[in-house]
Amino acid sequence: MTNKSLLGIIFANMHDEFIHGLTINRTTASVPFGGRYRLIDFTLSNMVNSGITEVGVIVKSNYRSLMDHVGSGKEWDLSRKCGGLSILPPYSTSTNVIYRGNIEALYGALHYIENSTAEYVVLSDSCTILNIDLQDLVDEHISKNAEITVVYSQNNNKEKSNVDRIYLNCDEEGFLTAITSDIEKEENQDIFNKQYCNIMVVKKDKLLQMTREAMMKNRFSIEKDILPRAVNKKCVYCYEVKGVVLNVRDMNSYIEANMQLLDKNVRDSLFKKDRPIYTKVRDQVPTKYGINADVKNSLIADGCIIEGTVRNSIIFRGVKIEKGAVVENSIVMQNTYVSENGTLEYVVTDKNVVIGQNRKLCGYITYPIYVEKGRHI
Amino acid sequence: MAKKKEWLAMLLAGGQGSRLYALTKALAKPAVPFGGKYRIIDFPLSNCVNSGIDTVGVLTQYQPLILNEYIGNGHPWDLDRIDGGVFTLPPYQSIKGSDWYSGTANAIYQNIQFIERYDPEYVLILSGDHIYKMDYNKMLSYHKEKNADCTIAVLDVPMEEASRFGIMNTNEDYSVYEFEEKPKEPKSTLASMGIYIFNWKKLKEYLISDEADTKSSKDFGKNIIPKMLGGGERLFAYPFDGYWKDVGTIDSLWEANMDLLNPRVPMDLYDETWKIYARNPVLPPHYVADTANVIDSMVTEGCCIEGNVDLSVLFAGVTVEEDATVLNSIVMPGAVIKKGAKVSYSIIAENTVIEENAIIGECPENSNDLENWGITVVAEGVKVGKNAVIPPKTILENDVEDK
Repeated sequence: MTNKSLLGIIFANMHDEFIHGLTINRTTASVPFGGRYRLIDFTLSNMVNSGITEVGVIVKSNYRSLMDHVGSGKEWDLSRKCGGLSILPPYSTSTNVIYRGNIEALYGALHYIENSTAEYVVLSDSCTILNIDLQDLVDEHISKNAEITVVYSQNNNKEKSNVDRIYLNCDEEGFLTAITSDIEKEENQDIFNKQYCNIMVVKKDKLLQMTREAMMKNRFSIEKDILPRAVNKKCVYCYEVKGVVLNVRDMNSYIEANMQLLDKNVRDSLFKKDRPIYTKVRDQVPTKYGINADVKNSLIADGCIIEGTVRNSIIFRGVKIEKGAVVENSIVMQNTYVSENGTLEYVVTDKNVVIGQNRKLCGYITYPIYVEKGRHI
Repeated sequence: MAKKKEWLAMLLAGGQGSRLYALTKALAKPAVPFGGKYRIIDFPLSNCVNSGIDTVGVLTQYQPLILNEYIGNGHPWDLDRIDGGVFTLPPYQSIKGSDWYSGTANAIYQNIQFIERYDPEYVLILSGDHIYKMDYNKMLSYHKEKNADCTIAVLDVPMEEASRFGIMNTNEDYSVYEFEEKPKEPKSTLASMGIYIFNWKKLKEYLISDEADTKSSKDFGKNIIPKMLGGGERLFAYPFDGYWKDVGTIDSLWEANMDLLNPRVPMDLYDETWKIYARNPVLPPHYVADTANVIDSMVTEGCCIEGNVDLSVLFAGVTVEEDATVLNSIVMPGAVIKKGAKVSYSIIAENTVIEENAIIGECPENSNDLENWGITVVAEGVKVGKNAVIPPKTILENDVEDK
């Protein structure tokens, strides 16, 4: 490990439009996930576990929930005198509009990046869930003498959903030879089994220069405008991350990613003892199981009271499931209340939802139902 | 000089807890895990914060490592303050020499300087071995209302149990005229809960004079309170009606955990207005497998349950494998119960491993010898081998080989 000083930049609002519903009132980064987390927890924890102590989170809109979640950054050990966590909201001036792509977002945060003493910058969206050692990534980036290093995972078990995915290919040395988001095209199908993880590392000076140049040329996206132009030029290195990688891009992939956590191998790969995933602590009581509780194959957070039946589900903090209630194949977010004999099948309930007595809500695997925050049914 | 405070709390956390045997071998009693994700000290500390006390001195002495690490900067209890906060106060060396804390009163005496820095009007004295929720603020109002020099929180206990406690004999207005430590024939049923509010100036006088008394054992109950009564000070009992449990023995620790599973016991941890705070272990939600059966239990983060759990409290990161059974037991953080093992009426301490098909403890209804039946304890880090049988009431401190 070289312990080069690193700056982390997280794009909180990228992909908002794809995960519709969940992001009406929040950023992609603050979408609840896995019983007690928000998507940004994985990105932040990866950075902190890799020794990054300076992180800027670039936000665009709807970021109240995100600010509430991250607070001062204390829970990630990012409440620091030097560096620490900074939320970087947009500021529109006459020349500067609310950003359209990550280049423009970076341009808005240029001073923040310039002021950092870090030598390298790790850029990350918050829609990819994985446990990665970013120091190792930077080490390889340096040893390959690359301008940009992008992270990919081998996409062997093709996920059902491929909305908003970017695939790439590289030569034997690992340099980028192709990049596309179109996997449907037949000629692309075999080549592009390497899925981009929306994480990259760039030397700080290079990033500043690249951002300024791209802005002058009206190029707004690194993935769409800069990387395709770098194909076959031996300047973009592709780093393979091993282990489980889950993607959240739309409601289907959101549900799929959550359900993957029911697999022990997936949990072991994401939640490692020496590289824990931090989140905001809510000081909840342990979960209480009643005499009639019947729970199978489910992931259950603290602060719940379970008197009913739960199957193949993800239950967030502070959920109450009453006697006779049945929750199957569902994702039940914080403080949801399922009354006596209520039934949920293939349902995603957002926070603070109430399911009344004897109410029955059934979606299907191909058509899950989403219940908005605070609804009473 | 720090800012003046109206009151502050001093938490006596130096006790060994010798009646918890193996559980406190390397751990001060207040640091003993309790209720799935807490340690005993979380209760008085959270009560302090919830009552608006922002300065707490924790007096440590016996095996303080885990306790010190746990308290840290006080952040989990919101006690990392610019002005005040939580302080661990171990015994120290001075020009006159050095001395261990020789009694509860001596421990406070040795920290007079700490208290003086805040120039408080009142000092709240607490102990770190009780489970209860209490608004000390109400007690302070009562103390002021009665114009008392010392107020002692009391619990009305059944007459047949009164001789186990320090008993306050009071007049109708709850003024105390006599204190009896474990009386054979109790005159009252008001038992001291070990929670005192003193006017600091008064207490300081008595601490100094008691320190000079070579015959004194320098204890609040035995010395300070009787001396204050003798000195004609105004002592009042503050009646508390709520759940309160001394968890100083194996049986009472086990019972207090079981009380959390009993809906009839008035100990509501789910009350959002009076949260009990604890340091978080940073683990994912717990997983309950297809083969699992979990009823009437409390389970917390990081657990993985494939077996049967009934009437039990599982702490963070506990594993219960397939066909294993945990019944009426307390399983502390990181313990692993392997396939087919059976744990009944036991306390399994941190990071123990119960190998396949081992049998720990026994249900009283299956016991042939109820006289010698009791809760089984497996101490921290012990490994119990395959097929081993550990009879009830055993305190197991060493590894047991496979059979």
